[in-house]
Amino acid sequence: MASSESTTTSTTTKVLRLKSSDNEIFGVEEKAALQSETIKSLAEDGYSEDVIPLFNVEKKTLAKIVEWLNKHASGSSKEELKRWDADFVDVDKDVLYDLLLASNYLNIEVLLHQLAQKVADMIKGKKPEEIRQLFGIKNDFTPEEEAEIRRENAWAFE
Amino acid sequence: MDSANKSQFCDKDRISNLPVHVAHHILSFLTMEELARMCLTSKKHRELCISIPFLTINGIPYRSSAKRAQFINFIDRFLSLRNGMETRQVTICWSFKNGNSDDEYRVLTWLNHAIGCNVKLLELELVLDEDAVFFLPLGVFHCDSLMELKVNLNGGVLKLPSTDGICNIQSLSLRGVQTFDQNFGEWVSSLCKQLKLLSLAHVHGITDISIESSSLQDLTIIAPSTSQNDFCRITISAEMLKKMRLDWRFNSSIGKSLKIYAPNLVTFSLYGSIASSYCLGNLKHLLYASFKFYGPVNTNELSSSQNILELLQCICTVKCLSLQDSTITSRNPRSFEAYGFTRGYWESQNLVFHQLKAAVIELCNKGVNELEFIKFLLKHATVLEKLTVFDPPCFSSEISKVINDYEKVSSAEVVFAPKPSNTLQLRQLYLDHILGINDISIKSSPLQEMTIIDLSSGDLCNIRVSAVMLKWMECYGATSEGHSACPCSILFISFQI
Repeated sequence: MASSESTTTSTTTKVLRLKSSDNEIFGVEEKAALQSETIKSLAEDGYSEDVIPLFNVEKKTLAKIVEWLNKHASGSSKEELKRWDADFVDVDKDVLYDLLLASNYLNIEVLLHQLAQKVADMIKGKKPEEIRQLFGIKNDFTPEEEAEIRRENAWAFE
Repeated sequence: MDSANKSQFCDKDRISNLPVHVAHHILSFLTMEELARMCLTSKKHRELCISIPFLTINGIPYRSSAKRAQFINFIDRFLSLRNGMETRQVTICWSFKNGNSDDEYRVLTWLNHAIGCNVKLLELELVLDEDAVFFLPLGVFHCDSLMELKVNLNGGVLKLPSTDGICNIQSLSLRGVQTFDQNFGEWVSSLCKQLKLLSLAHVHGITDISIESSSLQDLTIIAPSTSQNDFCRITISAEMLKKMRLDWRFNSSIGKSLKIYAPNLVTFSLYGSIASSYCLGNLKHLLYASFKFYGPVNTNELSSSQNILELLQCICTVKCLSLQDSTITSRNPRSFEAYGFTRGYWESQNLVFHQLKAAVIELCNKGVNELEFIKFLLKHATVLEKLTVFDPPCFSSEISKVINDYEKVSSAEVVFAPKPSNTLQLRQLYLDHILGINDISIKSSPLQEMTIIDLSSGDLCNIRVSAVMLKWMECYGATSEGHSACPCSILFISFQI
């Protein structure tokens, strides 16, 4: 499952081994893995020969992240990558949440940006009630407070 | 409120439980209107919305005065809640056309608010009323935190403040601006001592520009091609300059000169017409050069070929050269041959490309001149690794055969490729008050958002859009009989395919 897309044609590629918080090990080509600033600094600190422990990422999320890293190091065309990315972020809010936390922890700026854009796209064009429903947000305003803010922001609801 | 129930809900909140900077990153993609709706979802989200360090105040969609007043009110209240909060970026898009005269005062107030909040990046995109002048306040340049300033006036007149001080701005870009400040170059040179990036795109009113900077690293000038009097003499003296792009098209090369002192220049792109004189000094660190010449040349062709040669002589140290040229051949290839752009010609010019590793040459017309230059490169560029030739499909295989059979001094690989089209990655299209167009047909695959404003003039009759990625389309128009600016029909057509 891990590194399913990695190519073995090149003889000089080094493979880094990443360990998820639930102890699953993923082999990732160095070039792909170093897109993560966190992995990069861990590798520079001498972890590159051993297993790099990623305490904050579970295996199901790490598998997705590894898939993304491999794809973005594969030399695909921009067009193809764009289509692929659109499919990649097309997941439910819980998976998005885990991916956001993981890409923040691993410091993969491009991925974080894509995921943030996706969440924003989900918010766009929706009413407050729909946004609450979608992201599991509890309305903690009193009816009076809500009416007050609604009045102040009335222009946005017309 | 049941506390167990509350915590269960909070745990599930997939936005406010994110680290604050990640939540802000998400919210930064939303418009003010969407933020206003987001504010209503919960207290935590309201705080997140108010504390967002990236602000985009876009008043352009609000055309009716009532709607605009509400928007201004909201922004005023919103900003007052933010006093002193971290503000990294403020973008203000505003149209003063047919607007209330208070609007400019309001925008300046917001600008000052941004300065007061230690803004780092300030972006102004304004549409001025006819004959109006926008005075950029001095405070902008005295703002210690400001690193980046972008101003787009969509062709309007900009008046820059005169000051003796110095400012911290590292990146300045002006676009679609008219300035009657003839000393613009001197102004920038003396005021912006920390300037690393300067971009002047479609800036009108500068005849001669002279920039002297010891900090400048990246310079882009896209000269307006409509006026003969803009950007005649360009003089740049910048010892740290690493990257320069000049788009410079004109009808007559008379009086056009380019003088550069940039000993550390690494990347140099020059597009447009051929000037009457080039003085590039010693570009000993130049690695990437890309030249593309086009447009009519009214002077005699011999002098322009001499001028091209002057250029090529300055760039002999390049490792990567891209030469795309439609002037030389498309006008009159025969006359060019007559002027001797043959291999013998190139040989006689003492051009040495010792370090050239990659070259891209576009074949035009019959490709005769380029072919001679290619042969010259293959014969003399000893370390050439890759030569890419863009050949139009109409070319016969003769040329590729000639090139492939030609004896090479290096082990260079020669690749023939169709010319890549310059596709624009248009994601948002905004048509505001476009007069004189009856039919619009837009075909764009990357286009995602489209807004058409003010159909009241009656000019626009047919709009055909073919955009597979289009997710959002808005049309604002007035009633056909009235001239009220009030949007009466708002269409939301979802094309999500």
